[in-house]
Amino acid sequence: MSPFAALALSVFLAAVTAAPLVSRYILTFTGPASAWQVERGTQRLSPKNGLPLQPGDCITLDAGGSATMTLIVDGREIAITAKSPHYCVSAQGTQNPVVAAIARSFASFASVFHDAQSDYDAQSTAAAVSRGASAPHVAFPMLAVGDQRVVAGRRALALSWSGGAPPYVVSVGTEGATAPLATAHAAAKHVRLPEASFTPGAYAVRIEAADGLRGEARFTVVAASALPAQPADVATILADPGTPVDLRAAYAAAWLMADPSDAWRLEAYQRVVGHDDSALARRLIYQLENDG
Amino acid sequence: MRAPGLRRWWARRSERQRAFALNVAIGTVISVLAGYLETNAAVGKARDALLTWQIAQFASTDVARDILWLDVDETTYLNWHAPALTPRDKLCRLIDFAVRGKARVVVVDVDLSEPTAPGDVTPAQPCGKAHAGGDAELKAYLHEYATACNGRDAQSGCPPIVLVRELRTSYRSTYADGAPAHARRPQYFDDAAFGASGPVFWSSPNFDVDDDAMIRRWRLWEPLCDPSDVLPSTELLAGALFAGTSPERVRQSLQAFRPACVPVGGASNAVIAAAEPPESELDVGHPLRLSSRNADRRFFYRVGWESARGRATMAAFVPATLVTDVDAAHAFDPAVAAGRIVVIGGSYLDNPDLHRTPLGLMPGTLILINAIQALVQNDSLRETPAALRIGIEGALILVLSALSVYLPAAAALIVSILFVIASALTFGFVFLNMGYWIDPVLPLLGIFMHNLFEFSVHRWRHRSKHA
Repeated sequence: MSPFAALALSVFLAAVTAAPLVSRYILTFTGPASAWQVERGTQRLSPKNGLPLQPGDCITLDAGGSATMTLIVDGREIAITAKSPHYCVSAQGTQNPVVAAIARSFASFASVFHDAQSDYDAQSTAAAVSRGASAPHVAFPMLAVGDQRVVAGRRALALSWSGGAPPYVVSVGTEGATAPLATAHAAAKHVRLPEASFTPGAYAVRIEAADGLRGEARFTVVAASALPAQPADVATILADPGTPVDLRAAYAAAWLMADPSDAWRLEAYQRVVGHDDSALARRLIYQLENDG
Repeated sequence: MRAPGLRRWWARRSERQRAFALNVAIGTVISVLAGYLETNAAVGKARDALLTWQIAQFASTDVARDILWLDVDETTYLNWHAPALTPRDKLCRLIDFAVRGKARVVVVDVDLSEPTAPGDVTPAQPCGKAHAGGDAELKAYLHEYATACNGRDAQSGCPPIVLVRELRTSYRSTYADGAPAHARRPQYFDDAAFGASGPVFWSSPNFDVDDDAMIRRWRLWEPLCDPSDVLPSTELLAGALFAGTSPERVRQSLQAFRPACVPVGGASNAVIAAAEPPESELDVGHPLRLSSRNADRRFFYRVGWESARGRATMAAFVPATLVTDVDAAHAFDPAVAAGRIVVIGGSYLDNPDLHRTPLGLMPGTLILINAIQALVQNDSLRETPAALRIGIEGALILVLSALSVYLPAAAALIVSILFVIASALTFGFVFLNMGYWIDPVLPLLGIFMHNLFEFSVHRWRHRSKHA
């Protein structure tokens, strides 16, 4: 055999014998295998951790099941839950790296301008206040984004804020009501209000600092059934009675913060504040109190 | 003869053409002069900061398809009861998972220099054929593997296993120039059985750490003393073995870089002249030139780290606990390891192996993954070819000269700066993605110098007119 033929044969053999890389697979799932239907064409597969998936494979959670499954599809995590019980695998397109880099660089410039604008606005407000104008200046970073939600029930609501000088008077009540539901005095920039019953609806939190600065923000109380679905690995940890309380709190907060709606920061804070023994919890509390 | 001709040609040009030609000449002189500023520390810092920012824009643009990370993440760490050192029997099961999954190369990014404390020894879990438990389990597994797989490769079910070797400063030797020398740190287990031809190899996990504590460059090999030797970096060895290059070839290629070691104090006053080692090439999926000059090249980070979720943006990762802490009914299918470089390492929060990178703080194992991916994909910064550099500089000079002819001075300055920035953010990224960095700092300097020159000439003319 000539060297060229041998080379061609070895390349051909390598191509036909090389196993394709698995980039789509079941990472983990909860519940009995019978609760899951994994279909490949007419074939029905048994779910298994690490099971390689192909484009066209469809996974369905039987109706009424509370199990969850996490898939990895080309680097993305897909959660299948009772809320979104069906998923068919498709090949994900990849973004051109240059286009992604250009888009990201322009986005970072935009954020620089946005930050500069925010700083300018803050300075203008401060200047207005120093001239005697009354302007709200105490901010609630974790309530600043969208409509933040918290689960209904009897609970001692925890809050944190920035700006103003201590001591502070903080009160919370239904939106439009004259009498607050709970009131507290705080020497620091965070407080846990006295326990009160929160029923679903719109609420407002108000704060007054010793230097006269005020702040107000809104949030919504919702039923527990509105909580986002738990990914399988989080569900496993939270269901494990051996998980330390602090870590359970941190994982619950991390799960809520990871929700794409970005509406569960206030509830995440309720879960994690006061449980700061783990590094993860400390990081999440810092993030919620400072960056929202 | 020629001078009058040139003068006539110049006289026939329009005012604009003359201004344009003058600007091109000035721009060319400035670009040559500005080249000397490259050694200036402030310019160097500005360039470095800009390049770091530009590389950061490529975060998460690659999912490292060739690599699987068996991640000792926070959940795994918790399930393993937060051990001070990685339990060896668990590590053994992870290695065995990768081997059973038909990985091409297995990289163990775990410090094995110390035995685990008695309290850390977890109950024995079967790993391969060995059932010794704890530290002894891994030792027995590796020795069994080295014997059974000697001379065999990944295709025959024996992927090479690359371990990281911690280094220490030698007490006995220095390099020839008197600098402190590195030596291997002793292991808790005897590694004599591994042999030079594998399939278990040692590698250096070290990277170049810059003054600002950021890791931007790899160190492709580590010269060692006691005895004089060269240890390939983990990324170099993993990349070469993944490409099918034999370990002997890697060893031979690096032999030229063996350091001259002298006893401590022996080189105090005399720097021993060492000849520059000859360049050699190594196949890491592409021909990699090994020379002292490119041993510490800057590499691309493309695999990002989502610190809030504790996850890398990778095509394939598996939390280690899904492999080590499940019963047979829930065993993880090892098919995900097939054909890949499997990297075993930790991202748990208590892990001190956390470093600054252009993409932010990142676990050491993910830095290694980025380095392996960059090496395999030939994704490092290289010297820009002279023709490309001169071509781009020439085009910039022409455009900027034209701008200053057609626009008023202030407008030309603003438009020129915007043009250079816009070019850096578009064409600059195109070239950077190819490994060539087009420096926008020098053109910006050039614009300011040109403006200063024109301003000075204008003032001089103004004064002469009124004198």
